[in-house]
Amino acid sequence: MTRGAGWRWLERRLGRHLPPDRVAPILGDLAADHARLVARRGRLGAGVWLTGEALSLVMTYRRQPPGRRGPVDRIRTDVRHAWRAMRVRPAASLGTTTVLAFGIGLVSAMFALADPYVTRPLPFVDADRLVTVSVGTRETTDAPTVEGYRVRTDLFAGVAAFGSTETVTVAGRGAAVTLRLLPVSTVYFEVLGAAIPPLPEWRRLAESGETPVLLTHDASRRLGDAGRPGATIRVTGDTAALARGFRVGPTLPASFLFPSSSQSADGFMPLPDRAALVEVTRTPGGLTVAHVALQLLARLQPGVTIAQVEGALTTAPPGDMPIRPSRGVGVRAYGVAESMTGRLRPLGLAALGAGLLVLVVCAANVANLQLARGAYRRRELATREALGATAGDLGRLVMTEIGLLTLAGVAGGLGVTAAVLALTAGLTPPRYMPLGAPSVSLRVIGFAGLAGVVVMCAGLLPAAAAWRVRASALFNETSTAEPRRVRAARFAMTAAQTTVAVVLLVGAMLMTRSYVNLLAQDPGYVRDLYAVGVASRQSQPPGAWRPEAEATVERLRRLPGVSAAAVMKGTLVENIGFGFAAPAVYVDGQRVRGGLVKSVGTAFFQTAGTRLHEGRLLQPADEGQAAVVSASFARACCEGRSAIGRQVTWTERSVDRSARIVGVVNDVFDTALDRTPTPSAFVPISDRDLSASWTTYVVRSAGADPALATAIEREIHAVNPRVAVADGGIMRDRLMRSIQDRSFATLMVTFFGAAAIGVSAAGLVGVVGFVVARRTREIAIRMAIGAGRADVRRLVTREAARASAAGAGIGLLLGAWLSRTMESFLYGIAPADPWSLVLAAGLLVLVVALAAWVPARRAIRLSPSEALRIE
Amino acid sequence: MGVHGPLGEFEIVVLMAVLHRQAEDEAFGSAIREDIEQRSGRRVSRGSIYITLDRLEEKGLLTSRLGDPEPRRAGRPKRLFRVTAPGRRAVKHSLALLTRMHAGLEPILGDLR
Repeated sequence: MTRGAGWRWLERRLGRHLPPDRVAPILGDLAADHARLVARRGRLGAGVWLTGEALSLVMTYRRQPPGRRGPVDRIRTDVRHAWRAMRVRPAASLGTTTVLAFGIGLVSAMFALADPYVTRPLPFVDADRLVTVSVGTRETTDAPTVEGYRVRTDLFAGVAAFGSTETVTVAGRGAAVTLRLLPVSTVYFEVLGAAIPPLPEWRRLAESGETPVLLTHDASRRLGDAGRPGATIRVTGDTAALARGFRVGPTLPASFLFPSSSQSADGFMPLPDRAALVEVTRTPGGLTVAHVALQLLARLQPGVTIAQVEGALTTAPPGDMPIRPSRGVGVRAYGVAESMTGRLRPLGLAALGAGLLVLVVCAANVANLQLARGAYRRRELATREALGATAGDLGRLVMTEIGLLTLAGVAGGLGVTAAVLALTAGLTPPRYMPLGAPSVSLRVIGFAGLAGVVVMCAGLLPAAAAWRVRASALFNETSTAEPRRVRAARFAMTAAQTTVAVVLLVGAMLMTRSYVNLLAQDPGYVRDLYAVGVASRQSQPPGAWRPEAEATVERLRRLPGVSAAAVMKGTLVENIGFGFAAPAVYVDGQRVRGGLVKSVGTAFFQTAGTRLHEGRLLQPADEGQAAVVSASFARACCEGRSAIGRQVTWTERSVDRSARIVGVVNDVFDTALDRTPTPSAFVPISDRDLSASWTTYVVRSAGADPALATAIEREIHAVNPRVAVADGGIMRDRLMRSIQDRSFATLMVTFFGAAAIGVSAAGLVGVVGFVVARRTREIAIRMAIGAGRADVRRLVTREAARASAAGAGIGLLLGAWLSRTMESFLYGIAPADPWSLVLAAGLLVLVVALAAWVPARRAIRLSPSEALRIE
Repeated sequence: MGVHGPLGEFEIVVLMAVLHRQAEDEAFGSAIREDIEQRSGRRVSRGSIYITLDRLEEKGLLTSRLGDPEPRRAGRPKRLFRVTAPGRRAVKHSLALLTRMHAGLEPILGDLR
């Protein structure tokens, strides 16, 4: 009787609200009553009655609280209630979500930047055992080919070779495409340990004598059909050997990573395994020049170190190892993983640390917002408990709301992450992204989710502790004052976020002041000076350099718009260390540590705008006799006394030379703007300057002329077409490039300082606004009995001001102590510089005052009657 | 007053109906509803009976057990209720309150039957 469709329907509907052992008795009661009614009214009447009873039952249970429903219904109801609670106070919900999004977005962006260098492993097997080996020409005597190193199985588990990139031109989609191909051994990818599917086919073609090329994904796309696997294309290139066809092999995957910038290209071509490491050429002058044509990519045997490799392979005496293999001597090995990530790991860790600090500020902010939200919801939650909601129901309701806010915060945070990454991609120097531009990957999304959960939990705990709800106690309360523990929790959160913000602010102030000091100093030349470097490709005939240099200067002076031009032997600004030992320089027999002698045209200082400190500048008659020294040289040689009149001596090409010091000029920065300039003695160019592998011409012009660079290059080649013109540019740009690291670090620290103080300010607005809302009636009463605006302002801002002051005090002490770790980044100021601390404190006071001003102003503008109506 | 606060009117009625029926071990949903309708003279919805019984059980004022399956109930058991000691105290307290409130109102309210 109770197996019909109607009974089954009723059983299902009741089953949504009740467990089976409750449904069965109800159906049994209905069945028994129905059976009695059938006897009295007949089937039809009983059926009508039963339908009415069933519908009534279902409607009654549908109106019941969610606790009686299934899990899905419960979740749906909880989400609806949570959404309603968030809509009741949209400002608080939006504030929480915004703070969350900002904090999560920033720290996730820093994770995206730091992940490739700090946490994510390189895509090579055992990347820590990969090394690049550079071999001096003299070291290759016993092992002139790659095979000679491959047999050293005591050191290497595998050895491959790679050369310099060859530039080829092929026909692409419509227009010719220039490709850079890197010659590599056929075992290159096995040694590298990169997971590349198309290797066996490539090796087979290479070993069969063909010249297959592996193209990168981007190069293949640029070539179009000509770059498809299996195509044969004709190329012309710099070398005659390439003026033939080669077979396009399989395309490398888009994710392929080059192990270094020197091994980066558009594709790979095979290198014979018996290729020689050294190439010998003969110059037109009859000189034999050897240069290393190949470098090695090697995988170390387990337990073998780089020092062991260098010691075993080099013939240079111990303790005489140059920075690079020089003059044919020395073997240097460089870890691939260290080269790719080691340099940037500290920066990545610092960025991640700064992001986590901002997240701490956000967590404290969220905690304060949750405390405020708890105040408004106490009565609601107590009422729910009185109506039958259990602790689990209330907890589930609150957690659902927390979860919705977290989801919104994480979603917004990923948007902030994408924006920050897009911004930093434009500002970050490319050499900070050797592993590619960071993006919002799955790892970053996962990190953002984890950060959201941690922040919300951290924000929830103080609120949960402070707002323990007991319905009976709440309804017995006669006072509406906040519990003491709530006020203490809010004070602690506000102080904590202010502390962290001030620490970041102190760091930002120190970095910014250092940066300003750096930019303000005199580099020794006017910043819009144009400098161009010229390299001699082939050895010059002895004595040819000076006439060439002077002729070039004369031509440059005659260019339109040029007011002055001069020459310097060597480079004006270097960003790399020298690989050779400079000759020692002496003044009155005492060695000047680190001193260098540089040959310059007599018009050099006037052209460069170098400031004269003492004595006079060089004149044409000073050739071979006089020298002008830099200020640091004068300090190093003469210990505070005048350097004028002293004798500087040095040895050049085994010839002793000397000159009398006639002037002291400002230091000329020759490495980077933040590095101590080399103590230098400047002597006029003379007939003893027979040749130079590098020459610098400096030009001063009336205004910025885009065509100047072209004109200068044209004049240089007019004198000697064989020289290579490189590295030309305005000194201002060169100087800024020399401090790119520092500029980037300053920008990031300042950005984080601003972000932290901004989030703190948002938190303060929330705290003061909460105080105003909570004490509106009190404010109204005070105003009604005569309190002035200042009194009201003091009343609402007192709590925030005290907490901020406590946090600022701790933050300044902590910031001063931690600033010692930044000493290497500072310039011209000491750690815990008092003025920086004062500026940080001053900025904080300003921000706190502004943050408190808006809600305080709202309180002041309330009329007493309006305020009383609000409550 | 007790931990659970004052009882509603319908809750007292249901408890008293259970007290009436539990002596015969017949305090189940339909019987309780029938008892209330007979004594009060008003119709009571089935759903409100079951919901109130469940609520009273959650408050600890009633206990229930499942009886044996019966053929005339399509093989489904009865759910038999009993009033607990706290339930008895709650009923007595509520009735005593009404009695105290009623004292002195006889001239106004007259005979309550």
